[in-house]
Amino acid sequence: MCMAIPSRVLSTEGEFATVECFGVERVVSLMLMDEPVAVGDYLIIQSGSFAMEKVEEQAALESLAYLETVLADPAGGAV
Amino acid sequence: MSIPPLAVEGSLELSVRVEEGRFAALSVINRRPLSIASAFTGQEAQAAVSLCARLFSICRMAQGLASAQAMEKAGGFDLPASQGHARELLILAETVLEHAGRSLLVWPDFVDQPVQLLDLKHLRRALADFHLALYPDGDWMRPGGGRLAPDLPQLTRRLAEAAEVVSRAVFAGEAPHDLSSWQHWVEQGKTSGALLARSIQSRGWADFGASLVKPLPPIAEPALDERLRFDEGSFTATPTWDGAPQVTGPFARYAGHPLVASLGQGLMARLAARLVELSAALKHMQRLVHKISADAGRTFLNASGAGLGVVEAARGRLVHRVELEQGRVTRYQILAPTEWNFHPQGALAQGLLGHVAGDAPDLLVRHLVAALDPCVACKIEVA
Repeated sequence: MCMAIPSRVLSTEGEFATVECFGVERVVSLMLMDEPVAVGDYLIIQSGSFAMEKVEEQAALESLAYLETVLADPAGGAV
Repeated sequence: MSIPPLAVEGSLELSVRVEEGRFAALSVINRRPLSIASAFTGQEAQAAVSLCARLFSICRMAQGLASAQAMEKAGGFDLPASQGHARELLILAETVLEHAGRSLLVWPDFVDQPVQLLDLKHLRRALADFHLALYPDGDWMRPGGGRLAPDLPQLTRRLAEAAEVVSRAVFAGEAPHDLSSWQHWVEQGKTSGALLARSIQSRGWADFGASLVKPLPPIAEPALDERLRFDEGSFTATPTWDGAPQVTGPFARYAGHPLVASLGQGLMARLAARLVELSAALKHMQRLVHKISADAGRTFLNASGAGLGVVEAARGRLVHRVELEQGRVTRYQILAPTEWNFHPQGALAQGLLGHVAGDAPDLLVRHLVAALDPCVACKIEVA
């Protein structure tokens, strides 16, 4: 997807993880990840349902904070 | 397996109506967060570029570099050729990953084959961090140019690995380059691309999706700048040029290639265009790595002015426009490929409407949507 919103890992089970972003929980595949994933990590999700990469916590929080301000402004949200 | 997108990630919602056996109406609801870029206002140039690369991290290289280029144009910066070559390499690496990703992850679904996750993982290992072999400090998107210190052995090794995966998993050998090698490749049907081509052929869909919508031509920057400068949002949401919608992406770039041209303008030509571009991109990368020399970059401070960044990204032409005052963004606009290709009267609409829907209209629409390759999740309803 165009916008890559970091999603926080709530739990992992084998090759899958439950992630959360803006209050929405989703189950994603970890099969394309090249590094171990743990609870609390932030992941970028792509191509339907695959986690593609890990994002550092600070960068993830900055992106989420930015998006939160944009989404709070009716002029900046989805058209 | 596919999960619903978050509202903020955006989506396309397509409703198609079939009447008397033909596609009779199409409604396109574009839920991409188009105005998100306008919220860059007030950011410092470098921060806006970083934010761009981070927020749009699916096509990070194209977005980050279009942004950096827009800042540099606004500030009157000229980059050394080496930086230009390095940036071109990064965008091509992203294009290779995206195009090969279609073959390994998306097309298998159309032809009842398993997705090729291991191959995609190997390809990502070679190309996802490609920028670090050029810009070891990770500052590839810095306006003015990052610290360019090419590691030629690493670049060569990564490219060889990528070429091996593509050759084996996407083409099962040499990439077809003309009609005769294409036909042979399709008949062999050894990979998902070849199987998809065979399926399109056997269903009689090769010419489906052809339309009078023209490939987006090169546009002189002053003309494009003027159009964007006076735009209040309608041009970036539903762009036209010369009074008509245009199509952008691999087919628009390679419509004149002998193989693509010999296959017409429909689904088959568009599939071939993506594969021709994949093969050409890898070859071009192998030439480019030898043209890059070290460069320290230049400091970018307090620029004022307006500038355009224009990049041929995997999905098509991506344009960023910025207005800066004393190094801070006062206006930011993005014109992206999805808005050209999914214009309500554009390539999708003209490729569908009036044409015979056949006995599998849902699947037919899905094929054309995949060929036009939206950058967001796409919900399709055919009734």
